[in-house]
Amino acid sequence: MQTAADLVERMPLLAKQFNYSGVFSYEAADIQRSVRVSHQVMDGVAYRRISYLDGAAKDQLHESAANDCNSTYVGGPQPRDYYRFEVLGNYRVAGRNALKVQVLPIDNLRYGHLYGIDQQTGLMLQSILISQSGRPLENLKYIDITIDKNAQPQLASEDQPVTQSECSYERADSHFQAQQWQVDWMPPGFVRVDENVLEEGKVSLVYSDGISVFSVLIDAAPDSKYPELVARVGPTQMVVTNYTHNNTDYQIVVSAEMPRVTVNQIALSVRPPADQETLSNDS
Amino acid sequence: MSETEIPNSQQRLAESVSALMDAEVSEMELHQVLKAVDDNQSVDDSVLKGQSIRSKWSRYHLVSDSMADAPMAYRDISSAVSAAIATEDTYSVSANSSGMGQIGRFAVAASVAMIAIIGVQQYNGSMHQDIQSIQVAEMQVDNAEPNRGPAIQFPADFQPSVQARTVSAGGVVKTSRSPVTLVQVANPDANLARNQQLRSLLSEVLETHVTNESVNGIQGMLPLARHLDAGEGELE
Repeated sequence: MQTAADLVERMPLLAKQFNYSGVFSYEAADIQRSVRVSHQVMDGVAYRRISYLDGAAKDQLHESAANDCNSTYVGGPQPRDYYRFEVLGNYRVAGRNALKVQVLPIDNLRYGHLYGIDQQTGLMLQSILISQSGRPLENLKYIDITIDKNAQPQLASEDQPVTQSECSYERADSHFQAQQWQVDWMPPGFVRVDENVLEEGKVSLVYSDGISVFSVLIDAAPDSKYPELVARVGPTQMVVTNYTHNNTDYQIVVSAEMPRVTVNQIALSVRPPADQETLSNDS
Repeated sequence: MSETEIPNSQQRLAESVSALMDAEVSEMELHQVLKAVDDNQSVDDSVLKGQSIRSKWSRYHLVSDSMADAPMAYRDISSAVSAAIATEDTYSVSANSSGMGQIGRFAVAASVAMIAIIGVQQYNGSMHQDIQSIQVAEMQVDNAEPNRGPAIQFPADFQPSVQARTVSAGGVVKTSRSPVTLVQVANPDANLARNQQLRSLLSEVLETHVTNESVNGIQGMLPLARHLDAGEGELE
């Protein structure tokens, strides 16, 4: 018998490895749209096609590795320590039998989730984001989905957990040394799961607690300097701050689907280690 | 007197046919339309009326089909619909169930995702001091956030079992401290909100975040549903 936490933790692996296509509705405070998606795995590569069905026509194709990269690698996040998982019952969604699973944080530093998980395949059919005050912030719900059950996912076994190094596409190179940068404050349970050098002088750090993800973008040569500010799109909060270190102005932006106070606090705590005298950009 | 009634009711029926095509019709209107179509099939002196409604229904279907890229073949299924409705349970039709409510709701929600620049942070002193040593200033979280759209509701069949959140209620983890808020947020000036460079910075931020989440997050396509603008590999 799978526990609620098992169901949630397996969801992303299954979503990466099953072949499926369908239509879902997406609703947030100022957004409502219908979206068609298709997900096909070929030779270890997952192809995702996504189209908005209303408003301006948008249609994109994404590729990513279909391996098991985000849940059970050694040293990874331990969401069971920071959220309470509970199966609330059964219901139907997209014509399929699903389990309602509730994932609520044990603190008020992050959001909660309600998931509708397909009983037959374990795929996510519905996802509702819940604010600290218990209000729904967004609702994704499949209207229709076709799942190819012939392509069985190859799950990582507990005997052979995927290691973190297998999971990162582009490790930070030594030019910028992303790992020098630290986030001094974040909600307990978040660990750095990825880092990417986007271009010279610009790195992205990724932290996860196994449920929520936040991104830190550090730019050593910003195009222009802005006042420190807060912005929002749908449920995503972004906080822009500036940091001057060794006569270099850095722009730091933290983005997450998390309470604004939390995102703000994280952004204000990003800094190079105090004992770090020089950074590797040639200044 | 009775001569003016017929065009009026015919006009109403024509409108109902249009609403029916848009699936925005009350059950009572549906019955009226189907009856008008049906009347045409029986021999009766209002043949012309039924003819007109039937042909309108047919024309609308042709237009609709061609827009949907479906074969331009029209089959009259109105009798089958009538039969199906006849076997269904009857529900009361409330005045509010007309199509207008639906139209209004979607029209409001049609505003597309836009970056809302919510506020500029005003710091009291240096922001990068040791967090614990800084005086806490209250951040006006809710006041600063314009609630532009209607708040969404939990679906009737899917609500959390606990509405109110308990904070650190004996969990495994001791929350070290709540976030101390260092800043106040003021409304940004209009120039900043219109600044194209800033918007392109924020959309780059979103793009990176969406990519990070689709690789490292657990929610599959959800990040892309939020911000498709911000993705990579655009198809033309």
